[in-house]
Amino acid sequence: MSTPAAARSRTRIAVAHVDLIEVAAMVAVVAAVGIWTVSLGGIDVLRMSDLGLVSVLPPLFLGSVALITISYSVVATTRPDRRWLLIAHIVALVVMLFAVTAIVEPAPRFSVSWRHAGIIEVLTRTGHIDPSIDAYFSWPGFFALGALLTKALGLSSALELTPWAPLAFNLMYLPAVLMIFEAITTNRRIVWVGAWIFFVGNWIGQDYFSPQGLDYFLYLLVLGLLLTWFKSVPPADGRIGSWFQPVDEPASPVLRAFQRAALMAIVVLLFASTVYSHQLTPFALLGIATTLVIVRRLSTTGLPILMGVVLGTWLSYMTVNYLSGHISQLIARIGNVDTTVTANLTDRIRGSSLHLVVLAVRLGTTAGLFLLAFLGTLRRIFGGRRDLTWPILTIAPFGLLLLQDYGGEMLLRVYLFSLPFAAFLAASAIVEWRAMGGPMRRAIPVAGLTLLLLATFLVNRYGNERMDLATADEASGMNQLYQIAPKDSLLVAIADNAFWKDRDYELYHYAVVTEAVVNDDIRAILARARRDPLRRSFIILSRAQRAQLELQYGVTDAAWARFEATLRATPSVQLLYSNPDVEIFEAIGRGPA
Amino acid sequence: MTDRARLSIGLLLLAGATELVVFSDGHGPIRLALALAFLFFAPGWALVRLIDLEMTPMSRIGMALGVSIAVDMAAASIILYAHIWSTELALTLVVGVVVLAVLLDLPPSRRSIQGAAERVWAGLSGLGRT
Repeated sequence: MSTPAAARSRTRIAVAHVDLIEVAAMVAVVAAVGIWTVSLGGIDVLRMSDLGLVSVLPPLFLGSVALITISYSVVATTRPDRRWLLIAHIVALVVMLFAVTAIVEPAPRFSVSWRHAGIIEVLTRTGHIDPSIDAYFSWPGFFALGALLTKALGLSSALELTPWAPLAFNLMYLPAVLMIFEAITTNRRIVWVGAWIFFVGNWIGQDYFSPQGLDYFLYLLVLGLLLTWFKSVPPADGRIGSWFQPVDEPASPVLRAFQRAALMAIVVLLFASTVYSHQLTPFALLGIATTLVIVRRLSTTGLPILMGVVLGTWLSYMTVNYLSGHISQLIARIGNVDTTVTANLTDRIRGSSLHLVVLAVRLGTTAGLFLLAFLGTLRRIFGGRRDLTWPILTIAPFGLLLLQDYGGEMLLRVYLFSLPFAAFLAASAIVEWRAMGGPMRRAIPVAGLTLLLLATFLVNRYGNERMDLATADEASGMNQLYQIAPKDSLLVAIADNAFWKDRDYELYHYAVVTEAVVNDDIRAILARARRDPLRRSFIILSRAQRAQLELQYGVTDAAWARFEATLRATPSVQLLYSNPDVEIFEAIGRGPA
Repeated sequence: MTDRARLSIGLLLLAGATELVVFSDGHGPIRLALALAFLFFAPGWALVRLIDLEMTPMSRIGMALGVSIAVDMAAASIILYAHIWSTELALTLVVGVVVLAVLLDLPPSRRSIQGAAERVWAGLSGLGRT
């Protein structure tokens, strides 16, 4: 039986072993999530300005994400071996940053998600894949998976899944990102700070309910597998080899032949999944694998050839419907960097004054992250770590710009494919900054940088939210559209962010007439609507479309009011339905000559 | 009973319960939880453990997720390309993969497939320098 003195002694020992920083960090995570939950009630998305969601985020929300960032910075730099505590921080951050819209917005956001739900509806309704419909049906993997998931979960539409996709995808990215970082450095501080930078740097919004959102996970996972189990060390005496010598990375574990074979089969399976679900991701993976082979950092030198064969086979046999109609266009764009830069950059920098602020922050953040990655590279080189593998993998995705403009989105995709390595190098720059004295010397610059990145994330990520948001009236108005318009009708939107195409995707015709609205040219709109006089046509105006015209095209309130009044007064246009956020007109009679 | 055997039984029970709830067209949170857990983890977990790799729990979760998604995607695509779409059929195909992986994990089969894989790898090594 223990005496009271022995019990007191044990208590003293236990207290001595309590790590106050760990306890404080646990409290911080719980408190941050609690404060964040309370703060959600104070968000009124309908009051948003052109700055986006950040304009209506209450101080409590901002305080909660700042609190968890500071707590993480302290733990990551002073207790980098507290793995589960750090993972708990990241999971909480991901929930706080990526679930917010799913909780506070009244209907599924982002028009493209509605379209993707519509493609899944086609598959479940028709029961087969018809590549003649459009390009989506030549790369159907994601939609086939969506069909299985929607029906297996017992949902009425894939639209029910879409609000939660960003949260789900980012949680999926976490193990793959950790796998990559833990394969390329033994410095745990860099691993954790790099992971945080990755998530607050992932603002470009490609993680919505989309093939690229899912395939980015497969991309990260294939990189994680290759870098963990198939790295090699080039001979140090060669001219190239001396610049690619691993310094602070763990060696690949020794595997039995059967394990190598099985792991390679998994790599090929994952790569093949990207091949039939997305046009771009397999090219990015092929590029990265080829680069690793060239710098002699990959032991499976035949892998790029195998990847090329799988990719080429799919393109040659299964995408004929799409390629036969577009091959000349695709070839003409190869190497046309001028057009790509114009479509990706110049054409995108326009809009209302507040939207220009958002664009400036986005450009500044991107430049800042790559600058930091460059500084990280210099720090590593001058610190004696002459391994250029990771800087080269940061740059390698830029080669995709030579292929085509990808509808003006290639730069965003390049950023995404570079992000893990840019985040790693940026973390290398900041983690070893010893300018401050005291035990917290590493935590202060890390907290400073991550808080800055967090602030830019909130502007960058949700800067378009006024036009990406769907209100309840918009959802019910678009539902009404499909009740009013018979199949085979032409549906005309004034901007490309209408919340449509979520059903009967292939049974309607669609047109977008933004240019005509910007030029205040009602005749051009009617001409487009009545191009085929035998087909009924409906013109849809909605709050989100108006927001896009204001944000991205600078259409003023006065110009909008004039346009709307002119349309209402046009005799060949009849208003069929309206609610506060949607108006549906039918274009009647012959179009103007 | 070993941990491996317990996991095999768990995977089979999860597969059976998911089949049951989907075939009976049940609705609600139980179906949601079962279908999500099964589709996102079971096929990958069953296949990845055959490799006997040492890795962190997070890496195992990542691999199980990735392989599960690849298997689900392939099953749904095969059914759609074959013009025989049915949720139950696609799900049964995935269940088949899990059952097969559990059978392959039985000690005699594990030894045979490991031997076969070693021979395949030795053959492939001749094609590309590894």
